[in-house]
Amino acid sequence: MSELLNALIPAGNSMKDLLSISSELGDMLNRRTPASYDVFVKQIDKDLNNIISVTESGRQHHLEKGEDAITEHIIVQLKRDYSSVHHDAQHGGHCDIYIETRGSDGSLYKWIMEAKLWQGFEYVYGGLDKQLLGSYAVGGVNNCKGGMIFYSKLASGASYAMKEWHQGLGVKGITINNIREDGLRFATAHKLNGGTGSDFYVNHYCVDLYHAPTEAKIEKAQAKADSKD
Amino acid sequence: MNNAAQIKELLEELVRSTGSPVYAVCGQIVSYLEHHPQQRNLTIGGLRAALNRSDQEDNVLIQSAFTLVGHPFQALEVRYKLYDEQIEYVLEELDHSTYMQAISEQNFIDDDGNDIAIDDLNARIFPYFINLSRQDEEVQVQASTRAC
Repeated sequence: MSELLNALIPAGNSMKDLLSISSELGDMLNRRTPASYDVFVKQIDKDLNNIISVTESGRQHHLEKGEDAITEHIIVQLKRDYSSVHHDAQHGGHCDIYIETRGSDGSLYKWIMEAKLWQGFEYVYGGLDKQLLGSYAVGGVNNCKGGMIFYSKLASGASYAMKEWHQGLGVKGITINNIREDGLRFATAHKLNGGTGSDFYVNHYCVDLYHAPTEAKIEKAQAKADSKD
Repeated sequence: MNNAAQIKELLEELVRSTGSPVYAVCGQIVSYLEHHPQQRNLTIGGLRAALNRSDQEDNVLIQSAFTLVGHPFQALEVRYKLYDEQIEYVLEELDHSTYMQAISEQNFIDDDGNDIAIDDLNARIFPYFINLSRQDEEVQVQASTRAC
C-alpha cells in the first residue's frame, strides 16, 4: 500500500510547500522574473524602502561618508536581491544606480536612479533635471520609471530637506503625486526632451543620516587636529 | 548568459560583494550542472540530494534555484506540473510566464476552463527545473552533426 501511495505522490514539492518553506520566495519571484514592469518597479520601491530603513538605523556609520560611498552601500544591499544592479552604469551617461531584469515573458525591464547628497535644492535639482531626465532617462513601456534619492546630513532632519525639495519642485511647475503621509516619499511625472518627449515617472526618496553623537565626535576630532596645526 | 564559466564568474563576484548564501549555493548548482550534463530535469528534492544538503537549508536552496531561472543567469528553466485535486494525475503543464501571470492576476483558468483559486493552484502545481546548459550542448552537437 505504501509503495502504491509513493507512486501516486508526485516527486518534489508543490509551490504551496515551497512558499511556506521560503517566505521570501514570492518577493524573490517578483524581483527575478516579474510578471510585468509595474510589478518589477513596485518590488524595487518596497526593497528600497527597507534598505533605507536599515541604512538609517546604522546612520552613525555613514555620516562621514561621501555621496559615492553611501550610494555604494545602497548598491551592495540591492545586489543581494538584484543580480543586475550597477553603479555608474553606462546608460546615456553614467547613472548612479541601474537595475535591469527580464520579465517572466522575456521582456527586458530597466530602472534608473540618481543619487545626491543634499546640498540645497539647486544641487539636487541638477541631478534630477540635467542628469536623470536630461541624460539617462528614456521612454517606453518597460523603461519609463526611475528614482531620485538624496542623503541628508542636516541637523534639522531629512523631513526639512524633503519639504524644501517638495516646495522647490512646485515652484518649478512640477506636480507632486502620491505623497506619503509623513511627506518623506512622493512621485512626479515628467515629459522628456524638454517637455515634448516620452513620459517618465520618478519616485523620490530621502535617507536621514544625521546622528548627533557621531557629529559631536567628528567635531571634537577636527578641533583636536586643528589645535595641533 | 548561458556559459557556465561566465555565470560562475558573476556569481563569485556577487558572493564577494554581498556575502549572500543564495549566490554561493547558485554557484554549487551551476558546478553540479556543468559536471552532470546528462541531468536534465531536477526538483528541489533532487537538487538537495545532488548537493548533499540538509532539508533544513531548503529556504536558501529554493531561492538559489529560482535565482538561476532569472536574468542574467538563465541557467535553469522552471516548469510546473498541474495535478488534479487528488494529486494523482498530471492535467497539464504550465510555463513560468503563465504561472507568474496567474499570481499577478490572482486567477488561473486551466485548459478545461476551470477557474482555480491561487491557493488551490499553488497546492496542485509542482515545479521542476530544466538544465538549460545541457540544451545548449545538444544544439551545438546537432549543429556539428549536421555540418559533418
